[in-house]
Amino acid sequence: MINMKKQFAILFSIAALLSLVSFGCANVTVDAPDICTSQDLGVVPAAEVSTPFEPVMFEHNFDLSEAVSKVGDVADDMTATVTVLKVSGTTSLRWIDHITVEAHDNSSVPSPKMFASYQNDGTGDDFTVTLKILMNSSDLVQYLRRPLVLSFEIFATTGPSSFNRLSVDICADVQGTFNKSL
Amino acid sequence: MVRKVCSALLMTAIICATSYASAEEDHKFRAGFGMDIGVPSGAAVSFVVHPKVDWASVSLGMTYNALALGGRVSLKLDPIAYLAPRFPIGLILDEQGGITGQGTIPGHSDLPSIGYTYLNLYGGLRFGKPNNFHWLLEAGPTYINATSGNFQATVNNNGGQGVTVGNPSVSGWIAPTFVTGFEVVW
Repeated sequence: MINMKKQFAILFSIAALLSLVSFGCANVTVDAPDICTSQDLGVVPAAEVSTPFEPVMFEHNFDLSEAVSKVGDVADDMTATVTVLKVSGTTSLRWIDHITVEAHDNSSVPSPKMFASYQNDGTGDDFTVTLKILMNSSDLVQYLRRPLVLSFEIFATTGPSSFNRLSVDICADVQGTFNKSL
Repeated sequence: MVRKVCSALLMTAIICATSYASAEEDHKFRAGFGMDIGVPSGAAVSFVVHPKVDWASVSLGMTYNALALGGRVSLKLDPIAYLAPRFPIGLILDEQGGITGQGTIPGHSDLPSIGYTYLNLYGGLRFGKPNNFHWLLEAGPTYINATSGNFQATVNNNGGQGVTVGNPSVSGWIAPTFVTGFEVVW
C-alpha cells in the first residue's frame, strides 16, 4: 500500500511533467500611460463690463496618434482614457460659464462628436479649469489613432476683465492586450 | 555569444562531474553551486542549498541578460529524490522569482531601457543524482512584468511634435519559457 507521502510525491511528479509540456501561449497587457501634449488655444481680449459676451470658438490639432498607434501595432482590444483635459489661462478663468468640446478627425466622413464639457460651479482653481470627458473608450481609441481636431466653444455672460491667453493640456492612457496561442 | 556560454557551461559541467563523482552521499546539509541559461532569466550563477533533505533545495543566484544584472531565488522540489534517492533521473517542480535592473542595449544608451520581474512556474527533468552533480532541463509558464525607461527618446527621435509620453509597461503570462544548466552539491 502506498503511503500518503508517496502519493504526494507522485502528484508532484505529474505536476512537474504537466509544466514541462505546457502549451505555447502569450497573454499580456500593454499599458502606455501619460501620452500628453500641450497647445496654445488662443487669446480672449478684455471685455467691456456692460457688453454681453459672444461665445468664442478655438480649433486646434492634437496629434497623439504616433504613440497610440505604437500600442495598436502590438496589441488588440485597445482601450483609451483621457486622464487630463484642462484649459489654463494667464489670468483668472472665473468669468467662464461653460465650455463644450467637440472632436473631429481629419477625414471628412464622421460628424463631430461631443468630446468633453465644463460647467462653472464656482469651485476649483482660478487659472485652470478641468473638463469632464464625455466620449466613450471605444470612440476615444478611434479618434486618438489619427490626428484629432478639438473645437473648444467658450460661453460666458461677461468676458474677462483683462487680456487672457488660453492653453490646453491633454493626456491619455492607452491599454491593449496581446493574445497568441501556438 | 550563446555558443560560448553553452560551451563554458558544458566544460564546467564535465569538470565538476569528474571531480564529484565519488562524493559522499550521507551528508545532512549540502551546499553547492549551479550555472544555467534560460529565458527570461538569462545566464545565471547560483548558490544552492539542500537543507538536510535532497528532495527540496533553495538557490540564490545572480543573473545577466545582456542588458543588466539581476537576481533570482528558486525553490525546487524533487519527489523522485524522496522515493528513490539514488535514482539518477528525477522530475522536479521549480518555482523561481527574479528581477533584472533597467538596462539598454550596450552602446545604445539613447534608446529606451527595459527591466522586468518574473515568476517561473517550472517543471522539469533532473539527469544525475540529486545529491551530487546533475543537469536540469526545466520549462513552464512565466508571469512577467516589464517596465521601460526613457521611452520619450523614441518619440523625440521620430519628431514627436511636443508630445510627451510616459514609460509603457507590459505584464502577463508567457509559455513556455525555459532554463537549463547544472548544479553541483556536496
